[in-house]
Amino acid sequence: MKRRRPLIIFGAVVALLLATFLLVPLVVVVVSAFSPSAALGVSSEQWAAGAGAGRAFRYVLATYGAHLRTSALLALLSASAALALGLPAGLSLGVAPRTRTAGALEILLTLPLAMPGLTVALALLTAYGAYAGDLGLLVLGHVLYTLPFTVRTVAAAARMSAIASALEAARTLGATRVQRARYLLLPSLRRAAQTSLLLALAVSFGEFNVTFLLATPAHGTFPTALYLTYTTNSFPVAAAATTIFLAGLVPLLAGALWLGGEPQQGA
Amino acid sequence: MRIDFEHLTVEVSGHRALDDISGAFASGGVTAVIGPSGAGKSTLLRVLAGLIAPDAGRVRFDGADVTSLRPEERRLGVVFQDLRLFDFLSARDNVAFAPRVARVPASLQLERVDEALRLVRAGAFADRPARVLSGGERQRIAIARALAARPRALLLDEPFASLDAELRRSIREELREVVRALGVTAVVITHDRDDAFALASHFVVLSAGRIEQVGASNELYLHPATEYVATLLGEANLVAIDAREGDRVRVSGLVRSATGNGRRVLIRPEQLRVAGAATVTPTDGWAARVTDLRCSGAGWRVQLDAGSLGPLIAYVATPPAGENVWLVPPEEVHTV
Repeated sequence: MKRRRPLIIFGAVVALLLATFLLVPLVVVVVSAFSPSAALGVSSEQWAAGAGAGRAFRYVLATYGAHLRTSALLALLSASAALALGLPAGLSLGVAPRTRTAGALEILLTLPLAMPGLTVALALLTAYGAYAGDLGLLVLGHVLYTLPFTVRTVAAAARMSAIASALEAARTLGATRVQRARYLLLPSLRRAAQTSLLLALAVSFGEFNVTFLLATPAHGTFPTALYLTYTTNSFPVAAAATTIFLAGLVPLLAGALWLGGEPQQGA
Repeated sequence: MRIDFEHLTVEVSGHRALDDISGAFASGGVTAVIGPSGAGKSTLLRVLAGLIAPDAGRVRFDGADVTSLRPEERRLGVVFQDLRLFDFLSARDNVAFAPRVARVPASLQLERVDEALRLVRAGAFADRPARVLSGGERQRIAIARALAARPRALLLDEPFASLDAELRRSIREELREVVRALGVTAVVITHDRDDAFALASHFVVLSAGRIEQVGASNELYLHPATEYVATLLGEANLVAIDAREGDRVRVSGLVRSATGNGRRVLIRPEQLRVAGAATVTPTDGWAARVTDLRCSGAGWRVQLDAGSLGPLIAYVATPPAGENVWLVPPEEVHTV
């Protein structure tokens, strides 16, 4: 154990440096959103005057509030659909023997993550062009991106909790199908379902590529609003919009991280 | 409850895990199904429990055909090799699982759970989460969980596989007492002959999906039908017969009365008497040389070179005085 300690410290330092390197730009943006002075060298006199930071936030919420609501609705719909589909699919993959077919199916479900969002969007428009501009098609696009997270999280939890063996034991103890679902499946997979739901919400909330091609002005999402602020507005507005976006995203990711770090609840 | 199985055949990936086997487990008795890995022991247990449907054959409980019954309808208590405790529940809730799903009234549930916990002496750690229990504690809870279901029969699949020697011995003895006290039919699947002899009075020996021999444990030990059974159930000296005259055989100059129709004589190590050179004449025994001597705790395990007879093993209470000894086989021997 003692021999491992320097390695652990070295790993922690590397991780900390990496995290700092990645977070510093975001911190600068967030801080500048609250400091509309020239102190950071990235502000604008227009937004520094008058009501200061509050003005930029108010502007973003007034201009892009609808985008924010659409994003929240879209995230809720697609994450719910991804969970509804991913729970049984992940459970099936988790309890099934690890055959080539099962492996191929899992890779197939994960494929959208490896493809450019624009390609996925184009494929959806080609296949379901009749529904272009429909919120349903946008939800479908987001489900394609969020489904891998629910499937893989649930499948991993099912494998770790050896749920198939526990279900078999429960059968020999007289448990019916409904009782097995109620007393074993739900408690065993509850945490995985919660984690995957939060991850799906976060992924959908932050999704831009698919949305960029599929969304109409009527269904603009907050990431598309971010794009607009970056390309058309001054920095304080973009910083305020980014801060609002992070305020929505970070709690979801933190929740997923917290749930994932809890002791394994499995049969 | 009496369990009968008739012409059971199970094929797994083109391989016959069970090959047209028939037999019975007597009501109230403890039977060990013994054999090496791949013999089909666990497959037989899974068929009896209803977890595998046989490709052919039938299973009967007290004469009633249960082949098509689902596991949850068979009312058997199964203790799996990997125990399969529900780790997110407490030990007590694990034991209460079967009464709970059977919708037993709450007061009666409590009574049953307490009784099962008492039987396996698990009261002290009953309220701890199952996931923090030690190996021995988990084993006790798995047995208690099966007993709380009030099963018609207990099926135990390698029940002590994960325990160290001392714990294995103590839990084995406790299980033996519990099964005897309840008078429940029990089938113990094991590859370990010590477990089999400690728990069961009756053996079913399996080999490559077929039944090799069935019978009382002592009968199979002393009068095995084949060399496979002879070596599976204990260390065995197998010596070639020179000649047979009726029920007598001649082995390297000694004549003995014999049972069985085999070509080799079976002499268990404890049946072989090791004597000093002064006490035996060449007409009474075989000359041998001690090649290895090991203390086995209660006695000594002596490895011997008996010339043309090959290497032999004897268990003795005290180590031989010298290197050169005489070996005296019993007056009656069994051939395989």
